[in-house]
Amino acid sequence: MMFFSLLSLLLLACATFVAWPLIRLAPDATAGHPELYEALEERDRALNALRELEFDHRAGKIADDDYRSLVRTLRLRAADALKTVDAHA
Amino acid sequence: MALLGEGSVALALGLYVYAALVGAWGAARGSQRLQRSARNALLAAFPATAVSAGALIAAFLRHDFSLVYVAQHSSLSLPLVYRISALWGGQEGSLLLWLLILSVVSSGAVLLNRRLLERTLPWAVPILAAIASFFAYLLVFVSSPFETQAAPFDGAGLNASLQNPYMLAHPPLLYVGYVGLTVPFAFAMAALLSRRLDARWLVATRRWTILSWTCLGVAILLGSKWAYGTIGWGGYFAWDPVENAALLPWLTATAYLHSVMVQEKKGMLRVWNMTLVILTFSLALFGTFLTRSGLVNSIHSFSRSSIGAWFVGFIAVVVLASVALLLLRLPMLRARSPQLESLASREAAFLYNNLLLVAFALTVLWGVLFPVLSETVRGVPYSVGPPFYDFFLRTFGLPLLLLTGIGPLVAWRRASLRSLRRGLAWPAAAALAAGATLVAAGAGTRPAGLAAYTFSAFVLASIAVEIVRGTRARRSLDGGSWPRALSSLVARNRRRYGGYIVHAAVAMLAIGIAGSSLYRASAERTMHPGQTIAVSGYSLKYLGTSFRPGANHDELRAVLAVSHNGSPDGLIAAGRNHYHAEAFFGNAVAIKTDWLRAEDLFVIADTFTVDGSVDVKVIVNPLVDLIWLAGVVFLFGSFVALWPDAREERRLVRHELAVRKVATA
Repeated sequence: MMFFSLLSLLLLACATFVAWPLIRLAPDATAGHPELYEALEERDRALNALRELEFDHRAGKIADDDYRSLVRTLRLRAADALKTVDAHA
Repeated sequence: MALLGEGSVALALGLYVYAALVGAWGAARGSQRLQRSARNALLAAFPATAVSAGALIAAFLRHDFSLVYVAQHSSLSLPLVYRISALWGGQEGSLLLWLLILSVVSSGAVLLNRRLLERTLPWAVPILAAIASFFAYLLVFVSSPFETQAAPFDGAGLNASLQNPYMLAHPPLLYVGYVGLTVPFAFAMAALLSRRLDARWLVATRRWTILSWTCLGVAILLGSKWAYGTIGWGGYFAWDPVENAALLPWLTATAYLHSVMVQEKKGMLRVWNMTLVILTFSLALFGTFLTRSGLVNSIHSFSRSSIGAWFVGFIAVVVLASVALLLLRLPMLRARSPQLESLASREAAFLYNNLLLVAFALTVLWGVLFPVLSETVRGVPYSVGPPFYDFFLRTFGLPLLLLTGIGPLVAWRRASLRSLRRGLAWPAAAALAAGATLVAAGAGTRPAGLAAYTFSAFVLASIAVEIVRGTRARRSLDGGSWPRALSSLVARNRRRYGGYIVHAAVAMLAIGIAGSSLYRASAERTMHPGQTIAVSGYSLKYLGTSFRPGANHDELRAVLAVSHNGSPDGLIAAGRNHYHAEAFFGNAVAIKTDWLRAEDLFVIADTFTVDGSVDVKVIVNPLVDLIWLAGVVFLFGSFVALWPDAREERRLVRHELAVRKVATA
């Protein structure tokens, strides 16, 4: 009898918890902006890549010539990414 | 107790099915009410499952033999701690543990990511719930631990092999490893379904993957330690199918943890990462299936059962559905993947590492499946033994070890020959010096062992060089003292430096495996009291037998006096245990560890006769203790990598706030 009461109590608690969002008004959904997420990620990736490049250059992993050509490319990419973020925002 | 246990697991099944169906409907319709209700159902299933597991543990503690499962896996004389671990001593309890861990992991992943992945989560909930529904269904309708009977006076006891401290931790950790891999799988599939293919799901599930991978790795090592001390053949990994089954998802998860960094850094390998997630989760299910089905002959044959067909069906559904979804989203994934810039770059090194890891995993999988396929197709039983696996371990493992050392020294994007040469100079010199010293010491008789030692020295030296160069670079950028620069270096990229600690553990593991498997020495003979056996500088004199009766089991031992290089080194006692309730004789090997040399003296004593003679086998396992030490280092490295990165979390929150701002503008 005690186990039956415990089980009934568990069932009731679970049912209330599950039904709660159905009986109360849920807040409106935020409109999705997947392209903005992508742009923000691309911006972070580009800025991180620049930081990594600087660090690797200092650590001696990147030769000076490679550093100069890569930093130019990455700066352009970061600038493009920032423009894309601005356009979406 | 049976009513409470059975009722609550049935309630959990109802909640999971509701969460799967209503959650999928809500996600497809975009209804927040249905999504939240499904999420709550998934969360509510945790206490329901916990009550069910609690009821079974209580039945074990109370010796409630009216439950068939309790009677089959415990006895009145079973020590308390093993009455608790008997929960996972058989198939039904193991399934319940699987479901319990899945309910904890699912609830945790959903609660922690409810804001971060607001758009992917609605699909992750029904996927997690659908997977849990399968296990709950098995527990309710196919393999219930709550079946009742007229209670016998005593139970049959727990398998003696499981009455071991390592078995308290090995199975639960293994299950946390297997089950935890559900999270990256569910969120990957949710990302595909919701078409949110940015890297957020990767970032959000990264720690779950590392945690599962760590648990799986530690579980494999604990299982090896258990086999080493309990099975008593002097080894620790026999390429048993069930051991292999745990290794498979660990290997592919290792590949995934590396390739995921390439996607995060460069947006590359999106399709490959999805493939690895699917492969890893499928292999985790396959591992559970192999352990539970009794499909293949294994030291784990205590867990044979008839749920194999259910698992095969479920694995088939998972693989087919996830591959179909991946193919459906292939154009979207490919459209956003940039190309590899150079074959000499960090990302290329990760790619080579991935190919080797996956090739090794597929080779091991073939070794596991071939005997089954051979018997099914040709009707001829065929076993794949250690020589097959050892050959491929050398073929794939040694290049992987070398890559472990090279990878960290190569820059992202592009590395010139000159900078590569400069980076590799010191580690290569250290490795060559180590190799030359080892050849002079006589280790050259085993080329594979020499290669493993030399490559491991290269890995350790490359880590040291990388840390020194990194600290110097940090100091030149930020200034400050060397310790401060080192601390800042690690704090700024815990995952990278935690990973390097794990690499050091891998090098130690390689040294331990090479030393103990290629340079071991052994001797065996039938001994009478007073006789001596000698091997590799050790001499053991058999003094006689000892007998100690116990409540749960009796212990019979051969006592031997040890001397090492002529000096007395104490006593050692090896023999057999007799477990009363289980009517089972088990080996009780004796191990004497020399921590300074990381070497074990391993003694097996068997076939005791009335005239006092006993068969003794003595093995000297050089460097074997580095394997267990590697486990500790591995755990430490994983913790460093797992430690939350506040900057990363702030970055994701900033993204979320930026998107909300735009949405509400």
